[in-house]
Amino acid sequence: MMDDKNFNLAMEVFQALLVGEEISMETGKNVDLYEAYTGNAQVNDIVDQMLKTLNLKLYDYNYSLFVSAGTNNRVFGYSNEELKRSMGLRLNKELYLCYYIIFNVMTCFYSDSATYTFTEYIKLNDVVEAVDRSLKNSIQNINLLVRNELEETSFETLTITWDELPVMSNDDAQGVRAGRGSKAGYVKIVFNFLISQNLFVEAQERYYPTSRFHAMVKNYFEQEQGRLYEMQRDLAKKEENERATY
Amino acid sequence: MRTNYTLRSDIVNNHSDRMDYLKKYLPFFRLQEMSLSQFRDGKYAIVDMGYITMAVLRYFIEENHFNDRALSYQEISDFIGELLTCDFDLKLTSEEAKEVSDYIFDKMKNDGKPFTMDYFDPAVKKVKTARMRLIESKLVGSTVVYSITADAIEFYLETKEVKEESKISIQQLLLEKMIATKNFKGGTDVVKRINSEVVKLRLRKQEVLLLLGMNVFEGVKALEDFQKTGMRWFEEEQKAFVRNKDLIEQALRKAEELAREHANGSEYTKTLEDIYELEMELQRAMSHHSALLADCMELQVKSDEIISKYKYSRLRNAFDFNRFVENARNSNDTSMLSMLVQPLCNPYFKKSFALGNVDELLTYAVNKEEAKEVVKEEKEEVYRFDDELEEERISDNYFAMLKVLLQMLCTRDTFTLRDFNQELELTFFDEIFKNSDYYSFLVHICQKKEYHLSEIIKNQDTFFDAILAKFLEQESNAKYKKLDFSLQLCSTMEEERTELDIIEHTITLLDGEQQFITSDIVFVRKKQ
Repeated sequence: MMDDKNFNLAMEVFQALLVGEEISMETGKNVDLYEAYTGNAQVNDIVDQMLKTLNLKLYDYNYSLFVSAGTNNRVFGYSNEELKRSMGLRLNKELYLCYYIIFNVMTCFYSDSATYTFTEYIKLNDVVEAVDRSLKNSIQNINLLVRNELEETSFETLTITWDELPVMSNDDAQGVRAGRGSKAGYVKIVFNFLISQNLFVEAQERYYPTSRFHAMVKNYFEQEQGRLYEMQRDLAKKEENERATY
Repeated sequence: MRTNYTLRSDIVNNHSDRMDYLKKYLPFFRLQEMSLSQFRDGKYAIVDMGYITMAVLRYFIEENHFNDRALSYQEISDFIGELLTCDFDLKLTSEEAKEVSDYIFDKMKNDGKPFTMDYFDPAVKKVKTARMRLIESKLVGSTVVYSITADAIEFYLETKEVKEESKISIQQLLLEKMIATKNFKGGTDVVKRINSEVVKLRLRKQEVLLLLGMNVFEGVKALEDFQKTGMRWFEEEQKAFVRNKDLIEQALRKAEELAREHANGSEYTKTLEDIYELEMELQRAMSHHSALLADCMELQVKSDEIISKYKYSRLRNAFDFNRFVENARNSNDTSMLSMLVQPLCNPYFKKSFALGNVDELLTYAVNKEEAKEVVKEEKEEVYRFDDELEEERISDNYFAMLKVLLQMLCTRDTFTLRDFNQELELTFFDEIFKNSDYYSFLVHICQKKEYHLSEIIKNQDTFFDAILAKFLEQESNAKYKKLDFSLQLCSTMEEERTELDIIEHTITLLDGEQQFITSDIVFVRKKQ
């Protein structure tokens, strides 16, 4: 028989997770909910069951609970349009560039999901440099290209979008502002977004990753890697077929 | 005709390479053409941009490669200001100087964008764009610093020196020539240039190492390039240096002789000074070279280490972000990167309120009853698998053939397969004999000797029975329900077989033509 009290408790945990409230022993927020989830088997079961039905993933990291919508979640995930709106971008290629910048931010801290580089924080120019470095070879190879044929999703487009930006725009003399006019501006857009997603905190222009960031990178990618690679393969195959039909 | 062909292929296939080579000169001529006569009412019309470009490039080489430091905007601006006042005799206030040099430098870095040139590549019949930049910028701390690009160095060196694949050995030869003709001063310049080349290679080595750390695949490619172009001259060049040292000693002796002959003290000391300087520069070059050699060894060891480490790490059960991005790069689809970003986000609730609606809040008339939500009916998708499609096709074909067979049984008491074939041909043309379902139909029907259709409706023994039952279920086929018939295979009959009993079909299979032989069958209707 399901206990009403446990059910209510489970709903409370569930609701707190969904609205993004912190449940953490470490910071002392909603400790009772954390204890209910970890200590009460029935609460734990109900919450897990509900999350599973909604295709949400829950991670217990550093005595805190974090929830993620995962990839391609139609209900709780962001669509491209929504992401563009929340970052203040116009074009898909700009969004893809931001994805690439986020990837570079991730690899500043983790070379793979299990190897933490022990970097404590990063600065804006570290990221600009990291992206520059990772695209260096592509930029050299791109000196010759067929401009008319570039697709929005190609890496050439991404490389050119990045390469044609100045490091800083003239308005940035008083400190970098988020914007699409410069490399530093783009990185700032990305950091603003990451901060809004509780993945980073800023202190004196240094960006520190939060427990949420560590929890997601360490757990999600390791557990879901098979699915991610499979999705990637399917997508690649689909594109190949599309190309073949032309 | 043949020469014509060679000529054409030379023109077409090499055009792209030539354009790629020419792009180095593009920024210079763009800048040279740009005149300052429009700027500030032609006050600076005398300024020659070509000269300024070359001077600034030289300044960059000096600072970036001989002194190993990048330049700030202020330093470049000062340098250009100095050029304007010294070489063009312009009397400028510090504000004017800043304004005009900022303008010139902005043009040189083309506002951060590369200089581009569109050209038609006849080999692929497409318009390509060549890109080239002279100066690149980097963010250090919160200031932007500038450095010269490798392409620009190449351009600068090529304006005076010979262009060859391995620049360093050519310069070595040049040096030998200069020493032999007692042009010691020129020799010193050449050695300096060799030094800058070596420094460039060492920088490239750093880049390769960084790249290896980040992306092994790209890194290995860069490493191969580096080994091919950069390290090729190591073998010859050490010998060349020894030769040059001999030459210098010879030159020293010659100079002493000259001094004794002419007894011209000052000229002798001048030559000696030149030789001394050259020797010093050579010494420096040699130490640079050995440093480069050590660097290359180190690069080899480190790259081996990185590669073997990478091999092991691939076996670990961790998600490798670089590998994922590498896959995305291979299928050239940046949208795949969203899979890395989406999981990091908080769950997203789609709530929005358009600000424009604020005006309507007051005038908004509330409905008395709540409007029903309109639910669109969506068609449920039915998945059809390949085998289902196949089965459907088979039963369609069988139905058609059954119809012919049963109809014939209704009209005739007995008939042979040959007759049946004729009838089929009349209905479906000879196409039917190219259809594999026809042959499988025969195989299936021969599984039983006797068919009682009324029984078959009740229970079915074989796959064919099932299809038969389905066929009979159709209302239009109810008339066949009472038919009974049997098959007699000529191959099993005791009578002597004649050639007539054998029916041949030639069918084209994927692997060539094949003959398909069936022995004749006699269909007999049982009397009811």
